[in-house]
Amino acid sequence: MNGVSDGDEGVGRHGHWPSPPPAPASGRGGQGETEGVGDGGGVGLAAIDAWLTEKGWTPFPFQRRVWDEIARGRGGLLHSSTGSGKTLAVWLGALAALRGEVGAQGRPHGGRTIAPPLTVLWITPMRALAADTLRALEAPMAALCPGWTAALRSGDTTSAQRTAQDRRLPTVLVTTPESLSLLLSRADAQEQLGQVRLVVVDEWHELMGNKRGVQTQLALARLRRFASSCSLSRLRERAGVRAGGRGSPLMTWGLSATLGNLDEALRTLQGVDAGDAVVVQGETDKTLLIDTLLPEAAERFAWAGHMGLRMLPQVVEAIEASASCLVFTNMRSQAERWYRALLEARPDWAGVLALHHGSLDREVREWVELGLKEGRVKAAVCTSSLDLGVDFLPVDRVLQIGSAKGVARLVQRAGRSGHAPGRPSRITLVPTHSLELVEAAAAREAVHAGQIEARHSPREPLDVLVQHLVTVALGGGFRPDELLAEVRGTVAYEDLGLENWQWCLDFVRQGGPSLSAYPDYHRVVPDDDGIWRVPDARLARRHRVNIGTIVSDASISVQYLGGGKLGSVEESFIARLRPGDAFMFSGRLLELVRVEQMTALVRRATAGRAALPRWNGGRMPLSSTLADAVLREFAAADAGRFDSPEMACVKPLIDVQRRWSGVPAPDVLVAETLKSREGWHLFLHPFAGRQVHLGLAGLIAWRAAQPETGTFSIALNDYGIELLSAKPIDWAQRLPGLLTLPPEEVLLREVLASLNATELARRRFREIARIAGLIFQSHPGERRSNRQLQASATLFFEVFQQHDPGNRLLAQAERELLTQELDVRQLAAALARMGRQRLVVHALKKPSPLAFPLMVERFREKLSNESLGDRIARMVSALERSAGGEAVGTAHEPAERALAVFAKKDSPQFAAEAVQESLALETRGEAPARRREAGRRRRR
Amino acid sequence: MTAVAPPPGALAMTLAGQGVWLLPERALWWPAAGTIFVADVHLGKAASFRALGQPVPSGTTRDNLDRLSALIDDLQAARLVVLGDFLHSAAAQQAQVLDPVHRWRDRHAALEALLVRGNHDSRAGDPPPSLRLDIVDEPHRLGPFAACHHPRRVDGAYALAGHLHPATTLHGRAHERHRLPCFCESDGLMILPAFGAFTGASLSGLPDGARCHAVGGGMVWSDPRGRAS
Repeated sequence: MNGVSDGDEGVGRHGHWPSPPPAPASGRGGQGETEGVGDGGGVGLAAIDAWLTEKGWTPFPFQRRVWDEIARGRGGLLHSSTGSGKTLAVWLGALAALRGEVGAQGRPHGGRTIAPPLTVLWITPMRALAADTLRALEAPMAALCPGWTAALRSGDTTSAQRTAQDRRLPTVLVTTPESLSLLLSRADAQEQLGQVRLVVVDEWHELMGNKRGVQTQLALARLRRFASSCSLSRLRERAGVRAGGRGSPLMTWGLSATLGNLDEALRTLQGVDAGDAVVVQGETDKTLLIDTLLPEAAERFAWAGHMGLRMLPQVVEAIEASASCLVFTNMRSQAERWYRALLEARPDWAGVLALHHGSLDREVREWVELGLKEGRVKAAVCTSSLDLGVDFLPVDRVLQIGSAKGVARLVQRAGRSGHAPGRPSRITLVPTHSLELVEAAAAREAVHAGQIEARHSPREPLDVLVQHLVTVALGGGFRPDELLAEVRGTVAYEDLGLENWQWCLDFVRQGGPSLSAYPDYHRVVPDDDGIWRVPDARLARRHRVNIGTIVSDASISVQYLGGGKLGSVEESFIARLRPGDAFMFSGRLLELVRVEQMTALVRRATAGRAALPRWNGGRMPLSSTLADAVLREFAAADAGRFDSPEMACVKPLIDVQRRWSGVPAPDVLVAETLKSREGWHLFLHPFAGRQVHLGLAGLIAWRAAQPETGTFSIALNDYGIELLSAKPIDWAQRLPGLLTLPPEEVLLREVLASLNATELARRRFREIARIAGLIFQSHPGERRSNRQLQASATLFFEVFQQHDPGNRLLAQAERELLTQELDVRQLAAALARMGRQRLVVHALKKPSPLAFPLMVERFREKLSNESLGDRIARMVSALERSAGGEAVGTAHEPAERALAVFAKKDSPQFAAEAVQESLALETRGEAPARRREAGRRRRR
Repeated sequence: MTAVAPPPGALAMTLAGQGVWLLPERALWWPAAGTIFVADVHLGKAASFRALGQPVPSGTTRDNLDRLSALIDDLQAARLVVLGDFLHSAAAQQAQVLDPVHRWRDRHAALEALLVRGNHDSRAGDPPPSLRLDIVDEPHRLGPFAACHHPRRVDGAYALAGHLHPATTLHGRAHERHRLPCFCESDGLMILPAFGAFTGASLSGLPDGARCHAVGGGMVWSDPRGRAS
């Protein structure tokens, strides 16, 4: 199979070819003309062959298979590794099949040629991808369908381009789910989109499991309806090639390289009436090399907070050794920190070291992408912003700082390297703490065993449905019964009950089922013919600006005094800074001058302490697939097997864990107790992933608080949980009773009861409120014209709870918590597994290697059934004692305090210095804002 | 005035030589003058939202007026001073909002009611004369106090103001944290928490070195950090 891996999504070895090299596989020999293709397709396929022959390329069998299926009018899902030629497979097939139908040349009109109407929609999950996708599509199109036009439309499209497109949409439109919904909200949507024959959804795995995917499902259902009602007879007549299948003449194709559950993915894409759509499995034998940069000595007390900068020398070396590489981090702030550290280590890399993340200005990002493609960039420090997309031919190695958190993401990121002929993809893991060495070994095992996470569509998110109702009401209006059938055609809403449907209708029409609850409120109103429309032009505008399901915090754009734009940061971060304060952004040290109308004006700072912006979100849980693999590694280690270099390196940590406590294994549940100045700690290590641990921790705390009252502070990571009580509690004695698995309905009740005391549902509500159109996204640079409409999701949550408790968006917040955030089914499975395990409780004298990261973990929930008054009284009395000082909370207090305990009792052998050094690196970032704050006011 | 015992949960203090109570109902009570101060009631905010196409359930106006009535009755107040933002916007100037306000006013016919114009009042327009509110601009002197909407210092007077909807965060052991509305006390100026339901609260923009007396659990909690510097 030599030469197979060079197959690439449209990349060419020929000078004139604009981007990635062409699919075709050398060394494969010509294939005979395939059978069973209809006439039109046959003619088209002949044209492809002619074109390929001219280029000297030979297609893969899977590419031919896709062409045949498209020629038959079938939709499908193409699953094939990155760089194996998915784009060309679908695109050449589409050109072949559709040139006969809509004409390859366009229609002469007067002295000009008019291109065919919008026929192909190419949906990409990332705006950054759109431009390169368009380039990849244009070249074969120019050869095979010269009369067609192609353009892209995304949030980055200028209004002038939009206006031009609005006069006449191109034959091929590359767009995003959000921009597609925006098109659906046009009054002439059916006219404009009714003749679309093919929709391609690129990187379907990115969308399938989230609300953007649900939005896409709804849009696809809409397009199918347009297609079948609009021009079915005309198209059939003209095409004359359709071989049965279902009613709609619209074909849908999904592309993906990393899906675990293909059949479900296919059905989610095609709708419940998937008809004769097929899964085509492409090439999967691309070589994937996974290795790890090993530290000289693994810390026995791993602290997740220091971002792995201790590995800087090794990373510099690795970058040096490669022609061009991508350095992936999991968080934007981490990318900023690493970029800065690399430049400090190698000042001579200025100009060839780049930074890329989603908050940087578009021009900056495009410059970096171009540099990568042209090989001018030696290394780019990046986040998930470069997970997907165009091929950077020169990149020969990917570095992953910290855990990739999932097998699919690891494979995806690895695939960003090694596109050049004959070279494998290579990903090198850079552990940020010792336990990630175990993860690295586990991840490699999982990849080799082919264990990839499954993805599932969210079920019945009413917020997305509410948004869609308004979108469709704008886009020509709807009759409820017809729209219900259409919506139920999607996998997300196939079981949508009439009550939920009716509630959504009531909600957009009059706020709720009761006429009196929302006097004078109307968003969507049926007209005299029973067509539901949006009569108010202001509401229409506001809806269009806020279409979408991506929820980010209010952001402020960052700009030099002279006008140069740098990107955007969250408003809450800027709010903590004062003029004169320095912060690090876009790889630069900046000084805040002033904030004006959603813009932070800055200038270069000379030196000194800088705050590091924090972007919320982006904290991915370890997938259970990977978590299970980690536990297997521990089990092997406990049995004395340290086969991989990673496990050999982490052996000292495991030895200490064994000496002071115990090593977890599939059949042993390790619990640890500790009394510290903070209170009474319980550490439990079920290795079930952050998501499950969240629910588990809440549940155990709730049960522990039951006979009396109590407040617990909860910390969790992907391996375990910590419960901390300020009041004495005998964890060892209580624990067995806290871990029982009750019948499902009791468990649900308990989990919900434990949630009521937390802020979780309220937080979850923020996204729902935004998608359902209750609150608005503020856009960087935008003036706050809607000042009268400023209300937080929290306020809506409270006012609904008090005055409209039946509001189903509240119930949705609860349901999303249970099914997505906590995953009660997996929680029950985890409890069941723990019930079968042997529980071993160790009383610690000092934090064990597994307990230590939990003690310094900053993500903390609290759970309490004490009254608010009692809790405030306790806090105020604590404040009284420390009156005048600055003794209370800062973001880093846990870490500092844990260190104090640890350093006092311990000898230097426990790498306290290393932690301290890391702390110094970390705290430097936030020191100015924090210190000042502590003096001023208690806030976060 | 006769000295009434402090209501439960209230925090007594002396401002400008006058004994006053900070009430957990998010109001300030000056017994010697029989006067209740509240800030930022924002009546009709929910209705304004609905008029602009945002689904906020009704009930918040009723809630606001009921809580005002309870205060007036319990304290047998002679005077109510609203430190600005009585009405949220022009959309509040409609029967749906004003009818219940009229009924509330009739219930307290003997009450002297004073409104210091706030930024929202300026936009919303003055409430109708039938509500019998004395409408004044800030600063409005009342004995040693200056009634204001915007936080400001007033020469020779102790300023009472609103506008900011102040909030503070309390921290406890085991990383507990609560964000609560507060009375914000600084040199010569007390900023009251917003009285209205559906108004929100803000942590930002408070004066440096202010003492924040948090309101929560039916209590006003004295900021233990000592006097403002």
